[in-house]
Amino acid sequence: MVIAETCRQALKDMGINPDRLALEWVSAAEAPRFTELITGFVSKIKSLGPLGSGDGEGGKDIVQGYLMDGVKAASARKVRIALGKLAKNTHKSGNYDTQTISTRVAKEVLPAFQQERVSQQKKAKEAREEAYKILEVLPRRCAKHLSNGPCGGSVGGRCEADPKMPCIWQKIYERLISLKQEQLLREIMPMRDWRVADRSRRHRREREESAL
Amino acid sequence: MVEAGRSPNIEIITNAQLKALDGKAGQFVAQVHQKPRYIDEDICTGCGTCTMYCPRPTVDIYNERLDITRCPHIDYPQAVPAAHYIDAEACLRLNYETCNLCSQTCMAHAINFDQKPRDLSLDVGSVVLAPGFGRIDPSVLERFGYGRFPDVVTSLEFERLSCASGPTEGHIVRISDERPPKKIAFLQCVGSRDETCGNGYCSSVCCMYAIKEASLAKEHDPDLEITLFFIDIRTHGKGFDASRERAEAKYELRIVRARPRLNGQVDGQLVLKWATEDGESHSGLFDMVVLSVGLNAPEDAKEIAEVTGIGLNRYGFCQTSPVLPLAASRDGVYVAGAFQGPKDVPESVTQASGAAAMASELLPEARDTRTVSISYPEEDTDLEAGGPRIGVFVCHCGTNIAGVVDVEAVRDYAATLPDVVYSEAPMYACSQDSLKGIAEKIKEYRLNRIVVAACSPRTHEPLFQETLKSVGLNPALFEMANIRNQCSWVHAQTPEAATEKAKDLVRMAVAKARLLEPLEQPSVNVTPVALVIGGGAAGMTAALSIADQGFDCVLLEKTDRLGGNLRRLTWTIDGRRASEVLNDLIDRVNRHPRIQVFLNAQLEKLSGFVGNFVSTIKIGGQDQLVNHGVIIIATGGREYRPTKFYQYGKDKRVMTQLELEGALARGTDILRHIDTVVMIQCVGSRGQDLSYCSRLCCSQAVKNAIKLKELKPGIRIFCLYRDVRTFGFAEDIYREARKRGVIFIRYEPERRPELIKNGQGLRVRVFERILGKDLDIPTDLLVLSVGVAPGDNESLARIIKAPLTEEGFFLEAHAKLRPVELAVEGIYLCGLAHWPKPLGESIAQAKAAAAKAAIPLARGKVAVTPIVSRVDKDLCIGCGICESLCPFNAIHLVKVNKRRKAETITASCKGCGICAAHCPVLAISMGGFTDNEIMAQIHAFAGKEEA
Amino acid sequence: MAAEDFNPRILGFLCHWCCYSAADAAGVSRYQYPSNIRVIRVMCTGRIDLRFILEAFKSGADGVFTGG
Repeated sequence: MVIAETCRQALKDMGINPDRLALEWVSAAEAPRFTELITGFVSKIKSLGPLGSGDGEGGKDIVQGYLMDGVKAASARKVRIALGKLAKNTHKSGNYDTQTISTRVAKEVLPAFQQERVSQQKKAKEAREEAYKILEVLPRRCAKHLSNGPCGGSVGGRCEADPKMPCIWQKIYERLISLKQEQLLREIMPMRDWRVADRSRRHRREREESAL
Repeated sequence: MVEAGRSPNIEIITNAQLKALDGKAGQFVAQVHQKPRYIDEDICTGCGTCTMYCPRPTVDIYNERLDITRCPHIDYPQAVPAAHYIDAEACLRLNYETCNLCSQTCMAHAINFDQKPRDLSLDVGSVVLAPGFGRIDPSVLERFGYGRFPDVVTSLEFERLSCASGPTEGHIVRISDERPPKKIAFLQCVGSRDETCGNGYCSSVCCMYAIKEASLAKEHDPDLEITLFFIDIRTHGKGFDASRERAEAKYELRIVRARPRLNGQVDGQLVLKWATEDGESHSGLFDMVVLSVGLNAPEDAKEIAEVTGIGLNRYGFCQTSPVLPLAASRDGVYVAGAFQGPKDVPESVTQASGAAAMASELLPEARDTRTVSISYPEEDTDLEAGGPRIGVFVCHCGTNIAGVVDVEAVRDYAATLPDVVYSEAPMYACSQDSLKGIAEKIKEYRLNRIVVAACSPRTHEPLFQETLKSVGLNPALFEMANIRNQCSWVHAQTPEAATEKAKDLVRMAVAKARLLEPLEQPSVNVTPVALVIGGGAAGMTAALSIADQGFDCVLLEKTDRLGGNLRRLTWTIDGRRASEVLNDLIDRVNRHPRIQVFLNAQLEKLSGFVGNFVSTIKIGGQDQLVNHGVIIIATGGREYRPTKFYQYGKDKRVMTQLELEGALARGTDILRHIDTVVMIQCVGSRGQDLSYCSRLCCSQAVKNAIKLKELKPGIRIFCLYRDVRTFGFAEDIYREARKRGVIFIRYEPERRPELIKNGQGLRVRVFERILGKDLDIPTDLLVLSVGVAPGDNESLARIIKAPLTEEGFFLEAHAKLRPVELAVEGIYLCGLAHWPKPLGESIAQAKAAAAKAAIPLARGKVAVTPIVSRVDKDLCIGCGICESLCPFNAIHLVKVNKRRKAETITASCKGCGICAAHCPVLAISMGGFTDNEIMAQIHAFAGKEEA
Repeated sequence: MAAEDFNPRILGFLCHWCCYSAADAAGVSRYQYPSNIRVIRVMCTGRIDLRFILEAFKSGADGVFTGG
């Protein structure tokens, strides 16, 4: 009960319609009821639309981002202690009144969740920013000017062009892992525009010569 | 069936007949004659090559002669033993010494034409007769056009036609032109309730099976028009009325109350003529007529009776009495199933367990002297410890799954999943040869995680786990994907979506399987005491049976004396004085040294689990603790109080059937001024306060009507009813009542009889449909037939944490397979707490519950489920949240190195996982349902790329 | 997106003793319902962790059904 209510409020906090979570009691004998509930729930979700696209939901990507932090917040000790304590007290008092639980969750558990989520969000944002910086700056140091990962020639973390040099992509990978942002590597970087990028003297001379 | 085949203590002798039975109860010698199968069942793999090569077609008897098979064959894939046999009458080799093809092609060399009949002499303590039922004589069927018109079929033939693995693969076709019929008529009571063919009894099961067959046919072809012709609609089983009403509405079944006759054929269609109750005659054309044939006594009933020395009743069924429903007339010979009287599957299974109890009652001294136990090979820990090597088995389940889901596609898909090294799609994964196959594949491919995509783990997980154990794998290394109950069956209209869902479910199961870990299989000792709750007929019978089987028993009764509802009964259905039965039971209970009776006692609290329950019992205000291993619930029901109806409680001349019995028992003087009696059936039942039919009130009313007629022959009795449900042999007393002049008038629920007070007189107004008008019956006495209401089951259900049905009765674990067990292990059920039923059925059920309850008592040990919580003490911070939340007191704090740490009490833990879900530091994990396993399932749900 | 074209993905957490049994029974009775739900069996709804539900949404569920 406490968990369900927390979950509902957490969803709301993340801009997700809490109606997307159903908690029903169906006894083993109530097969017809089960059928009705599932049928009803499916059509309700249909009317809400895909996750993130419902009324008041901020779009798929945003919601996904919130959820990423939310899952982390849900594992955080602070949130879980608050939740556990409330569950314990509710159990002791025997007061399972929905209104009471709802108020208490809002007062005792949700703030911790919000705080944790925001701090996760911040952490994630910082990590992401740093990761983007890494991806922006470090590849320039690649001997082969690769922008989408190592060439395949590196051996033991050393560059193919100069075995004395470390492979910069190995470094990038390790740092992204430590920031838990390795998924960014999956993103394909746009092709480099060599017309503007390459200003080496030899090329310029060739171009000038060929223009003659 | 498979379970019986696997038990080392059950020897199955097929093709056998009992020739003689000498000796006495406890020391019988049975002479058994066994005819050869010509195929060695221990060697045969059931592969079916012999059937393929046999050149000699023979009629397929199993498929009601609607198909052909070959001499060597197996009746159906799940048959036990899962071995073929040779039809000795048709075989060319056996009759003409030619051919011999099959034995050449059999790779297993299982075919042996040198097998000879053999005679066995078996020492047995008791004999249980379960020969089933026989067929209605063809001459009876001929009266309904059977044999003359090919499209008149029996319900048994129809059943085969609608069976997915039957001769037409489930397509219902006319026999004459093999075209699907458009209009089908079901004729009820063929060979039942018909004295002209010698079967005066009601076969009990045909009304419900006709509804079932009609529903299945409609499911298959929604355009079918189906008409069912009933005399009375006797769907009196547990929950039957409700499912009949649902079926009638959902499938638009047309119900006609008439007994039609076949009037020839017009343009290939069959002509039926009938007269309805208002006297009008009708006729109709049908493409197919299904005869709902009744259940006859077995063909060899006489022979069985002669050999075993038991008595038969006038219809050739085994003679028993309502008080001893499972005992044949010779000591030590018991009966179960349809041979005792026509009955459905749940009741037959119940009786079978009951008969086992009777046999076990003879056994206490000899118990365990000749039993064999299975031993499993040691666990192959090396194999288990290696990286996951998953085998996936995707079951066809005949056409149950394969008819909707593309099983091959799912199998191929499974093969692409990570760590899956083998995948296969067996026809029936649970059949004995498939299980053998799984075991072989485990060895061949060194599989160490098994996924079966089939039916529900609730029913079949143990069976497959057994197979894992048999080859040295820990049973926890097993996962099921439920692609039948929760997929093919419920998404029949959308096969593509169902196939996609099946793939998803398999992917999720594989994802979990990759992370499964072996779990310890602990077992605990059983306290060899049974607690029986309820001191009525059922409770006392169960207690006596347990005690006779050699175990101690505590019997609780909440009032100050034993007897329950039996106290209020005056006569049993066969005319015995109920008080004799009652006194005999009470006397035996009180004298039995192994039974301890607590009066004024109620269960207050229950803790523990199967084998080790601890109950707090309140006896006259004092709490007492009782340790016991099992519980039998026999808390009974109560007579419904019809205070809303017919001035009951206000006018002394209005009473219930039980009150009438009670009054007559006190003296028959009251009859002096009574010349007319009106009885009204179903007062408060079947859709009023009680939604259901109570199964016994019709027989009770008829019984009392006859009693009244005996006491005062001139008395006029009117019985107003909806359906007369005197099923089984009770039909005899219904006919008897009619013969004695009791007048039966049917009413519809929309137009119930009314009570009209006319000065001092009572009048009952009822619509009489032959006359087509209201009939006013002045009466001296109005007797209301009321049903059985559930007792105070709710509070008990809360204490033992067991579910109730919508109607308020206890819900058994499975209606057909486990009819006297609750879902909670170690708790059993009998009597009116289960469902309203007559005395004989309660007694049989009490015996059955006693048999089931005796199993853990006799074994002395029960395995504890390994799905329990485990605390990682290094992570635990001793906050105590888990301890306070656990509903089973199965986790507590202990001091470890001066720090508080949580610890699970494994034997009490039910594996609910509340502790794990609330642990702030994620220190608790659940066996078989760890965080990682569930997370893996969620991720696998996400999509293919993350699989 | 029009409601008719949208085929939501729904994850169910069903209690072994109650809702999962009911789902099995629904199969036995051949009650038909939409095939959008995928089920994870748990021994009790009490097992369901806040993380599971959020993770389910994160994994692309449009709805989560918990049944005890």
